[in-house]
Amino acid sequence: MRARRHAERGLLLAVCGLLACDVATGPRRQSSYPFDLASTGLVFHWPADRLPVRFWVDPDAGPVRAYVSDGLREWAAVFLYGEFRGVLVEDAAQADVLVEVNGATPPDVPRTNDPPVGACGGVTSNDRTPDNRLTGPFRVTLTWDGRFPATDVANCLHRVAAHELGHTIGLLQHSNSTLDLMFAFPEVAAPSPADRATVEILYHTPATLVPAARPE
Amino acid sequence: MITDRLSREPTLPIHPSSVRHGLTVAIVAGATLGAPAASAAQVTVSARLGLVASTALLEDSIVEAISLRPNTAPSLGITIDTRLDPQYAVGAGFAVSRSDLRSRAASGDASVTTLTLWHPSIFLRYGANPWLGLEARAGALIYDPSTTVGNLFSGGAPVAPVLGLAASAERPLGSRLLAGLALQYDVHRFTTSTLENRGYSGSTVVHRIGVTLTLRHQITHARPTTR
Repeated sequence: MRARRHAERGLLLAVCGLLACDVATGPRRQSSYPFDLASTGLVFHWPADRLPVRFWVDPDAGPVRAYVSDGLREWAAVFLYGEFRGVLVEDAAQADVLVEVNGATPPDVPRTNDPPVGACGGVTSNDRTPDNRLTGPFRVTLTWDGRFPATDVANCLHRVAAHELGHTIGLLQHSNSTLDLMFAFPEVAAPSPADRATVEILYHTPATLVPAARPE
Repeated sequence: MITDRLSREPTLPIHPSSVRHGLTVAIVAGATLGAPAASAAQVTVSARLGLVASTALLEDSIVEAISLRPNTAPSLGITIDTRLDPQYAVGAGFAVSRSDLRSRAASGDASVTTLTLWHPSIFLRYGANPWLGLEARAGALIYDPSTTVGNLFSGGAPVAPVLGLAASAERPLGSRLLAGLALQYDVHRFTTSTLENRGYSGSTVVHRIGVTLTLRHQITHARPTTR
């Protein structure tokens, strides 16, 4: 009987402990930077019914396919609730984003932790209709400069590919901080806390620019 | 070659999912194998089939309010118990439920993952009268997301202690079979390593209620021995 009383008291204490504080409190998030299309205020992000977003990489782009794969993983890992995810596809006609390299296939060498060098560049483009619909897939064009050592080119393309992916998921402006992947001349290869805060806010802000319809 | 391979295996990381499944299998096996020791008393095995609903695992705010809650889930369970006296019985049980974990916000709902919950427990059962039973339970709730969309479980899925109560009404279906309806309630705390790493503090108290159909089979009677 005494053992039973002890058990009942223990159960009561355990329940009280469980119920003591009932809500997880969210963190104070990093400040964000603007993500709308400059001078228009238009906001773009992929809607849930377009996930996973399909990325195609030109087979002649060599190691860039792996850089895009890394970038997709990095950006998807930013989201707690799966607001964005992307996959690589083989068919350009079915893709939402096309990634190409301008010029020769870049060198496929291991990346290093050397300081960032501007040995490459990238541009992301798309057009829109008057009613604010994208006219087709995003086009990412990467360039590289053969006068730089191969490792600098590899490091640079890895950073810039991840940066351009940031534009394709809706970050349509640049950050002013060199610590952020979305700085105009990226010096880091992964999203920073400010990149994360910005993209989290973006994906919970109503979009005013919608993607082009997918080909059947 | 085989020897070489075997010698390397202990250095491989153990998959957390294997550990969880091993743990639950061990608990159920232990409960089942332990039953014959109590065979002098009355041992009852029951199967449970039902539905379980849960409150939100997390309430967040990013521009808009976001609630993370599993859909109502079908659940399946087994228990085994043995009588301590005419009114009390102790036992062990194991249940599993599977549902879609969804984030819900004004901008829309989205599936985060398919969530399987493994629930081993031990319980004390009180027979208030021949047709009404009350149970107090303690156990663990093992989160097992099948896919990781988003980052919520990327740092590992939680194993949470859980406490619960249940009331069941039963009627006999023959000499050794009882059919019944049970109402269950349990409570646990939820957080994940990823949330903690991202600066979320505290954890959410999660309440679950369930309705189950039970079928109990009495497999052993106390019999006086004569020599």
